[in-house]
Amino acid sequence: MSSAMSTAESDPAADPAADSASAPAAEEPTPTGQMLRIWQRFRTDRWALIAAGYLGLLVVVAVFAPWLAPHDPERQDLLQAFGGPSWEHWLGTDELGRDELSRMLVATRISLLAVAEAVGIAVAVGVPIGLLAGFRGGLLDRIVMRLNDLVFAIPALVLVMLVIAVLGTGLGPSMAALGLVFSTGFIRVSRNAVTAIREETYLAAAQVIGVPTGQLVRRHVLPNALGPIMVQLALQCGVVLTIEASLSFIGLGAQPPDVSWGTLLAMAATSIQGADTLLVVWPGVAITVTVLALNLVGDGLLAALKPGRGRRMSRIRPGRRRRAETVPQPTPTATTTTTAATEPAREPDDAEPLLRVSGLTVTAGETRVVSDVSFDIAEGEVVGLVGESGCGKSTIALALMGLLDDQRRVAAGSIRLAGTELVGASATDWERTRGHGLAMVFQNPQTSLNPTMRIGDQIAEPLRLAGHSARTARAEAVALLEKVGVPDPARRARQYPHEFSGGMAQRAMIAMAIAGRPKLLIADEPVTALDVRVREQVLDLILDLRAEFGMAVLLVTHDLGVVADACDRTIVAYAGELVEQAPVEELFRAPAHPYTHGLLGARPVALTGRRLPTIPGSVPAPGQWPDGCRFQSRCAHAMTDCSAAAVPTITLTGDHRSRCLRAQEHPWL
Amino acid sequence: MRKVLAERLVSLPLVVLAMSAVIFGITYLVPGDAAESVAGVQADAAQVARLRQEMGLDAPLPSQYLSWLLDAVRGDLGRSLIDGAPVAGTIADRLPVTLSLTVAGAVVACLLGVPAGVMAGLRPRTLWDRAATTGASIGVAFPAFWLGLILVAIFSLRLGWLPATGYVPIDVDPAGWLGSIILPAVALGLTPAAALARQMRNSMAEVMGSDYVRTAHAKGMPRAQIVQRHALRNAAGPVVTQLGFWVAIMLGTSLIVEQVFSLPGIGGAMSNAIMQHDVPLLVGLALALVVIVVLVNLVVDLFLSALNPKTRQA
Repeated sequence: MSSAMSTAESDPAADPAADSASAPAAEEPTPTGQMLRIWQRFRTDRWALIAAGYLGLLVVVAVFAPWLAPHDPERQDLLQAFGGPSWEHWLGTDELGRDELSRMLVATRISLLAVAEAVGIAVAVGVPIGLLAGFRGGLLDRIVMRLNDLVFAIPALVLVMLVIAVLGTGLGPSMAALGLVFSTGFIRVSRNAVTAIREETYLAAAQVIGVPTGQLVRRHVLPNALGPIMVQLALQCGVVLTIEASLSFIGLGAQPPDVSWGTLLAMAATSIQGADTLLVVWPGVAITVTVLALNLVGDGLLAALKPGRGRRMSRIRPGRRRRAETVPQPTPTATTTTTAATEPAREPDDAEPLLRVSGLTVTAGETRVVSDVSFDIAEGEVVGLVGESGCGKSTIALALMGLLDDQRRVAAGSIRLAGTELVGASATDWERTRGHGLAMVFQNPQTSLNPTMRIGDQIAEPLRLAGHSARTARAEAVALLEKVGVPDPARRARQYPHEFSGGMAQRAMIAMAIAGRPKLLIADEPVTALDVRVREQVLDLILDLRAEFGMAVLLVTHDLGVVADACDRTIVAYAGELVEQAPVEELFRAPAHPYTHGLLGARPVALTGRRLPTIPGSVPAPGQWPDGCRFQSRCAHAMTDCSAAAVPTITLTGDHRSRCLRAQEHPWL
Repeated sequence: MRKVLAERLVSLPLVVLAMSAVIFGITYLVPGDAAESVAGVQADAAQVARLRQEMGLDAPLPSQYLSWLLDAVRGDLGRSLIDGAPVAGTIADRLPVTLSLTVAGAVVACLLGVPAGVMAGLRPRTLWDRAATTGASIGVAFPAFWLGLILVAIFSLRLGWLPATGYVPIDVDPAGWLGSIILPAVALGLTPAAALARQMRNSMAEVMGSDYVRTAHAKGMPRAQIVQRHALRNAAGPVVTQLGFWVAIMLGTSLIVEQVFSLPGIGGAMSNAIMQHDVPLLVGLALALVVIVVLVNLVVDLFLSALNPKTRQA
């Protein structure tokens, strides 16, 4: 897993849907080409591959069963009845003294033939109907799908039994019945595969220029439908195998002299009392293992069709006491020593600021995604954290909250809030700190609120935790909603998130964040997802609350306009490290890092709203950071020294620091 | 929720009506002549023809369906061609057995599947998760009736703990009922338990990684409360949907499992009806099952809308 995926802002993983939809458009698709692509992904799944191997072997066994069988499966020997496993009869003998292994081998053949018949019919009936319905659309599509839904709502086994009543019992008719019933699955899958690409322009274009329908289906529709059909095929084979065995077991499917695994079970069941129970085991194991193999192949195919899905899911693992080594003292690497050298010595006394971050390094696996980040926030101060996407801003913010997902962790450094070390704190300590010491407002208010809980309850929840009664917590929640400017707060408190607009939801999020009177509010792009008209209002709200409660604010944003309006001081992140820190006015007047200068240049010009040229190139991904200055490849002023060694942080004037060798001469100004 | 209920109460009879037409239409094609089988072997052609007219078998399909429907609405599903017993009576005798087995199976599925899935979902990629996921993959592959046979072999024949066959109605002897239903219910419930565990695991893992769970952490909520108050409710939706699917499947599978344990449910009657071309009985039994499935779907929908405030208020 590349570390690039783990920074919150960047998710370069290709969208699987877009991938599968655009693939046929890009290259001339053929069914074989599509098969090849699926196979290449499929074969990386070890278990699916083993399962496929087993199924292949099973087919071979089925084909050569009569020659493989050590005995005549029908030869009776009553003296040998119910003989357990022996050298002569590996799986023992049945009630008539017939060799069980030979019968199992022959039954394999019948069972697989039965599945092949049923699934063959299902495909032959279902796929053309589905393709046609999807291709034609309109009334035909609606009728087919409505009928399909109706049939689908009847339990498959019941429906199969009804059709068997019509077609008759026995292996052939019952498998035909199964095939007809299970064609509904193939109708749905192939129809959906067609409708998924019906809207694609290339298909419409092909239709307009008069490509014959048959060719269209073969060249464009089938390659797309093939994957889902194959998945359906594998899974349906498993279901059909089970149902075949069930039907044969109750006497509606295969009947003697035809033996399938199901009939073998039925015969073993009649003699289960007192007799050799092993006879019940073999056919059942065969069925279970085969169904398992089919499911594994189906899952493998499904995964091969949707690369990058499902396997990994990032989760939050807050506040775990993990690795003692994480506690303070920046590790003496090249970069950290420079910090130590250039930053004034600090004593952990009461002169310490509200928040002191030093040498913070976050890793994803082996890769560093944030390295050696040090900054302070004083009480009541509003600090902007700026940088492009992928610079590690959100990772820094989440690390401060102890909310990194389980792929990322703080590997070194220290986070001290009001003198208390948070790196390496226990889960309980984190829970005590969050909400009261630290609070956070996220970018997307709609997904950050629990959709199934009333807004008021979500705000009251931490208050209840702090010991308020249900009644006072509820009253306080309403008061908070009022404070953040939600009109009619008593009514709104009883509503759910989906009844809130984006701006109102963000206000509710803010109410939730300030409920515990935090000393530091971290706001991660708090207005980016909001409607332009309400951005300023929400920003003003945060500033007003700051003034009222005297809390400090860390405002994470990519928008320097927001910084100019709101912040006292700014820190600039680039490629996982801080490149400049300065009071806002000074930063705007005399940026001491070419990256900052570039950001300022990329700002929309106030009056015209026209964007000036942005900085050429893009942020190097974690793991691909160059030696020396990480900005060098995009910098117009780079020198040879820039790539020589890590650039130390230089203090210019009091509060102004830069990680640029040419900070003093600032050739960009 | 009321709106959902009202909507469903309107559409429900229509769905059942459509299903009954499908079932009636299929069984119309069943070979054999009902009049002949009722009249018996000795009857001459004239007698059979008269009987056919009396039974309305010479009428076209739609009018046959209509007259069947009119009777059915009044609770008269006709009589068995074989023994002349009223179909509605047979259903009333046998449906409780099948239903209690299915419900017991669903309970087993939930009791096994949901906790296993929750625990795996809370600790993804741990040993426990791997074990549960692997167990679920294997569990899904078990044929229920085979599992029933194995359970009988072990718990009834070897250990003698529980009866191998027979059914005790719950209103006669609840303890006896439990004893008679427990093995079939486990056999029936294991596959759905595995499927539910899988769904629950994925649902839980997804919800635990959601933005709103992160918000709850940011508020300083302890993990146990987050799981209880935020995660479970949101993760439940897909699992309930899945359970609905599986109850329908179990209703079908119970027809087989019943026969392993000789339970006097719908299954045995259905097998006989098929083999003897007993069309009225077949239609009645199938319809009874379909009505149950439709009702289960209704309950699932109501439950889902109760879980989700968006649909509850819509």
